[in-house]
Amino acid sequence: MSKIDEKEIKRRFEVISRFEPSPEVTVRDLERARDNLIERTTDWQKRQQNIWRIIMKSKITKIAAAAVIIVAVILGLTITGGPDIASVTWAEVIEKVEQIPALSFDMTTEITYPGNEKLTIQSENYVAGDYGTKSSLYMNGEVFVVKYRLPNKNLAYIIRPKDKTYMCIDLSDEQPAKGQDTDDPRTWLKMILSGDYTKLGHKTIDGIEVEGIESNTSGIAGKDTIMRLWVDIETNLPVRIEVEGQKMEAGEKRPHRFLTENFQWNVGLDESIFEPNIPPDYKMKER
Amino acid sequence: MIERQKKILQLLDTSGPRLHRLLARLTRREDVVGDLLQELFLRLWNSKAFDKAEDPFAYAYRTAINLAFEWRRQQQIRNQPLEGNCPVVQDNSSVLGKMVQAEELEQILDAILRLSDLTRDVVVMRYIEQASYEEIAQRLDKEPQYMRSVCSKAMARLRELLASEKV
Repeated sequence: MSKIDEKEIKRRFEVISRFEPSPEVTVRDLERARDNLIERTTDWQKRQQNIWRIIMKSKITKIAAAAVIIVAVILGLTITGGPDIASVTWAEVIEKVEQIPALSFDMTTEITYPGNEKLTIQSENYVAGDYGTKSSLYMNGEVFVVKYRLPNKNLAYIIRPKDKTYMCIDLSDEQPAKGQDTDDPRTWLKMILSGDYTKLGHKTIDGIEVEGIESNTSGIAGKDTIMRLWVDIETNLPVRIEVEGQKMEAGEKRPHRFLTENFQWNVGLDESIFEPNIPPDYKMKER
Repeated sequence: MIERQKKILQLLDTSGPRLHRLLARLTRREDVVGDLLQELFLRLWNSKAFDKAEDPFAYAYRTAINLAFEWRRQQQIRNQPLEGNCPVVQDNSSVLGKMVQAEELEQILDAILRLSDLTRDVVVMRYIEQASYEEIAQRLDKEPQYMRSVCSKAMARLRELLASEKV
């Protein structure tokens, strides 16, 4: 055993400090923590909704709650002056994409770690109003997670091919199951277009002439998120959505970048795409 | 999605990798880090102090240190080297050499357990996460000079603890 002096203690600390968990393990654990957190916090919200239902059963509390809501609405409208969508053309973008029953798109997520190391996750995504959503997440060209959200069946699946495991989640009463959620880029469009934005002018993406806007808001990538939307000037349909977050933490900025592109609007998606088809040797993980 | 849920998910997205790495370093066990990370974020979700924290990351970071050392207390790991996932460990001699080195690292992490909460946090930030005194002071809302003094005393205490363990 080495002699225990300050130098030796520092040497041991140095060895410990050089340990980096593998990117695969990091991504897997982060994904699991996220799933677990969503599951638990959604349960909590359900309990809160039950409390609300109990309140609304009482006549006195019902009247009091109604009064509070009316005052809040009046104050809110007085202060903010209501929603303000500046341009009719841009408003048409939302109207148009909301009428589209099915779409597919690719997303690239880039996370910058300390030491400027970058982790890149790519995903292929399908959204169909009739069936739900499917996302296949890739790292280093290998699929590591496939997610299904099937609102009609009130179920979601998270499949991990490498581990040969899957989770089945009951979506009953969960709000995102009933409508759009953060997996649907249309949710992002609304975030961009519902606030102030600046026009970025015209440019060409993949041979398509597009017009862009930029919004600076608290979005999915933390405070001061920059979101850019590029729309085909002929079809009024989005071609690319860029989201960049620079969140300050303990004196450091940690960048996240999401690039959503290769949109196929109003694409015909067969129901079989949304069928999990879990191989029989995969083990179900308990929630 | 409610604001609080969004806040915690944002913290997971932005700081999750760093917290994960910290837990991995303090436990030296890749197989338990995932569970600890889940536990960490559930603790934050259930914590009223987290809501009031001016720097959510700093709060989460200290909670992660507490959690990792709680785990060490429960486990009191001995002679469990990393299963081939510590490529930087400079040991090219023998299996015995690796065991000795693993024992040395466990020994020092267990010695940190016996320091006070503040000293433990400072030692982890300074020597394991290689943070500057200024950064540590900012995170703990203290003076850099005081952090330097805490480190100096901690080093003396660790020497004592490790020397007595050897006897």
